[in-house]
Amino acid sequence: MKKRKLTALALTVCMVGGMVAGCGSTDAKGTTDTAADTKDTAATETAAEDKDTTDKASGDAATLTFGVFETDNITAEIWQNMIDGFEKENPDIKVEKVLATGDDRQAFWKTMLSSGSFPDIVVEAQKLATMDGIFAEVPQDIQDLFDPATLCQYDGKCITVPSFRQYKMQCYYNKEIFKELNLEEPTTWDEFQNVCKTIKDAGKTPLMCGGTGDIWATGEPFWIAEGDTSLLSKYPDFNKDLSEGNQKWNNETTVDVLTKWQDMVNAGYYYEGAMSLSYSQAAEEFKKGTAAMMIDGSWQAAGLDGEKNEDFGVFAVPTIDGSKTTVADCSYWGVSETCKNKDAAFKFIKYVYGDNTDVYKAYLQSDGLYSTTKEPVTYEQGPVTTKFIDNIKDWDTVQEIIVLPGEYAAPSGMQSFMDKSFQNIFNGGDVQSEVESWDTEYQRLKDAE
Amino acid sequence: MKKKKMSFGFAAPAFVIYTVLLVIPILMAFYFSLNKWNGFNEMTFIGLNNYLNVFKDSRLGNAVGNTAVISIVVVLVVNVLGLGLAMLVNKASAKSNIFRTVFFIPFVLSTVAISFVWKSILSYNGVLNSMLTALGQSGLVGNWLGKQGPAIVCIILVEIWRTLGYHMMLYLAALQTVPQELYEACTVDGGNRWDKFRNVTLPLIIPGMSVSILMSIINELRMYDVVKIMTDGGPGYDTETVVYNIVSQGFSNNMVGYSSAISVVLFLVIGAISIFIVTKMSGKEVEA
Repeated sequence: MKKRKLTALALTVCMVGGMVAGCGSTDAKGTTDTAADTKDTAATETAAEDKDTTDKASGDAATLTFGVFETDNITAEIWQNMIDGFEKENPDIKVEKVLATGDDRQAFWKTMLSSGSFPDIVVEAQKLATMDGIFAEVPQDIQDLFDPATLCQYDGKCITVPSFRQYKMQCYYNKEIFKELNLEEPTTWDEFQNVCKTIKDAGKTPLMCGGTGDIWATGEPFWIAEGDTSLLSKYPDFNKDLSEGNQKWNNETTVDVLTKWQDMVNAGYYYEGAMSLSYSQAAEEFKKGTAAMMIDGSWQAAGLDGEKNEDFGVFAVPTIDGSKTTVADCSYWGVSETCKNKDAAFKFIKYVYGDNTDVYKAYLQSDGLYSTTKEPVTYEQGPVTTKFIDNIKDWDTVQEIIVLPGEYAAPSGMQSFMDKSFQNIFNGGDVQSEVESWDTEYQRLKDAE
Repeated sequence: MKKKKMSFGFAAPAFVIYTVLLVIPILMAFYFSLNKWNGFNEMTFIGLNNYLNVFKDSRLGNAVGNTAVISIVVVLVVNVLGLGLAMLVNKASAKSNIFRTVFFIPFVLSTVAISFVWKSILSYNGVLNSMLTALGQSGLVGNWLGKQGPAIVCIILVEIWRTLGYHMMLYLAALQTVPQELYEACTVDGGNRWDKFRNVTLPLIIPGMSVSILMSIINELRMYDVVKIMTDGGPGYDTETVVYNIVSQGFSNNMVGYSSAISVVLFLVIGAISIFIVTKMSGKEVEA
C-alpha cells in the first residue's frame, strides 16, 4: 500500500513539475554562467555561439534571417519582393524570412531570443530595444539615410532605424448612414457627441470596436485619438516627466478622457457585442454596416483604397480640448548584436531605404505608411488615404505615449496592462481606480527593468 | 549483478530525459525565482523578494480566484458526470462503444482547435446567437465572451465538454475492475441499486477516483490554452488564470524571475493538494 502511495506521489510530482519546468531553460550554461562573469550581452553572446555553430554547420556565412510579420495589407508578397530584389543585386547574400505568428509579436521575438534563434534583422525592433545588448549600433552612413528627427537613441547609441511613420487614429464612417440621417463630419467634440446621439436615436449603432479577440482594439483607438492628444497638448514632456517621477497617469486629463469614453459606452454608442470580437471581425462588421463609425488607423484607409471601396469616409476625431493634435508613430528595424553578417544586414537595410525607392514605396503604400528617409518617398494615394492626410493638414503631430522609443520609453508590459484596463473601463470598471492602477503597474514594471 | 546492471541500462534513457527536460529546468526555475531577471541580461540576486511580491499582487490574486472557481466547478462536474456516464456505458454492447467514442472525442482533439471552434460559436455574431435569432429567440442572444460572468461560465463549460470523456474513461476502467460476484452477493443480501453503488462500486473504484480527481485538479490549476484563445484572459482580467498570469509576467512584462516565483508557488500548492488527496483517498481504498 505504501509503495503504491509513493508511486502515485512520484507520478504527481512529475506531472506538476512539467509546469515549473516551462519556466526554466535547458540552456543552463548560457543563462547562469554568463550572468556571473559577463554583463549586458551575456545571453545574447551565448545565442551568438549557438548561431555560429549553426552557420559553420550550414557552411553559408552570408545567410541573413529577416524577422517580419504579415497582415491583410503587409502581405508575404511585399517581403518577398524586397528579398528577391536584394538577392538579385547581391547574389552572394541569401535572405530567409522568419514570420512572427500570433498577435503578440514582442513575445514571439523574445521566445526566439531565448532559444538562440533570434533573426539577424527584425521589424518592430523598438519593443526590444530598451533591453541592453540586443541590437547592434547602426553605422553612420546608414543613419544618414534617415530624417534625423525620426532617429532615436538608447543610452546614447543609435541601435535601430526608423522604418516608417504611421498616422493614428481617425474616425471612418459609413457614407450611406450619414446621408440617410443628414449628418455632417463633426469638427468639435460636441458635434461628435451629437452625431453619435443622432445615430443612436435612429436605432442604429454609432461606433464599433474590437474586444477580447484583439485586446488593443477596444480602448487604444479612442485613447490614442483623445488621451494621447489631450495629455501631450497639456504636458508636452509627459513621457520624460513620467519616467522621472514628476508626472502621474492619474491626473485630471486622463480621468476626464476615460470618463467621457465610459459615458459614451454607457450611452450605448458602442456595438453591444464588440467585446467578443477580434479587430478583423470588428472591421468586417463595420464594413457590413453594423455600426456607422469606427475609430482606426491609417491602415484602414489603405485597405479601403486597395479594395477601391468608396462607401466610407474618414474624419479626424475632434479632440476633447479642441487642440489640433494628431498621433503618428514611427516603427523601427534593428540588426541583432549576434548577427554574424552585420555588414550584409546593414547592406540589406541600405538596399531597402537608400538604393531602391520602389521597394520602399511598395512597402509604404501597402499599409498607408509614410517615409522616414531624408529624401521623402511618396506614392500615389487613393481617395480615402488622401482625405485622411488632408484632415490633419497643419495639425501638430505627437508620438503615442506608450510606444515612444528611446530613453523615456514605457516599460515592457505597460501597453498590454493599459489595454486590459480599457476593457475593464468599457465594462463599467471605476475609472479613478483603474487609472491609479496604471501608476502602480508603471512603477512595478519600471523597477523590474 | 548482471541483471541489476541491465535494469539500470533500461532505466537510463528515461532517467536522462527526465533529468534534462524536467529536473534541471525545475531546479533552474527555483534559481531564477530568487533573482530579478528579464530573461536576457544579467541576473540580480534578490533573495525572497519575488515570493513576497507574489502575495501582494492583486492581479495575481484575481487570477487565483478565477482559477479556483474554474477548478472547483470543473473538478466537481467532470468527476460526478464522468462517473455517471461511465456507469451508463459500462456494458459490452455496440451502442455503448459508440457512446464511449463520442464522449472521448473532444479530449482527443487539439485544445487549440476546439477553443477556436467554441470561440466562433460563442462570439456575439457567432453560431449560437445566429441560431437563436433564426429561431426567433432574439431575447436570449447574449454577449457570452464579452462580459465577466458569461465569459467565465463559457470557459468552464468548454473545459467540462473537453475533459468529461477522459474522466469517463478513467471511471470506466475502474468500474471494470469491480468483480461481478460482489454485486450478486449484494443482491442475495437484499441490497438495492443504491446499496450496490454505495457498498460495492464506490469503495472499489477509489483508486480510479483518486486518479481522476487528481488529474482534473492538476489540469484545471494549470489551465491556459482555452483561456488564451477564447478570451485572452479578458474582458480585462476577468478570466485570467494563474498560468496565464505566469506567461504574461514572463513574456510580456519581462519578469522571468517573478514569473518563476509564481510557478514555484503553484508547484508547491499543487504538490500539497496532491499529497493531501493521495493520502486521504488511499486510506479509503479496499481490496476486492
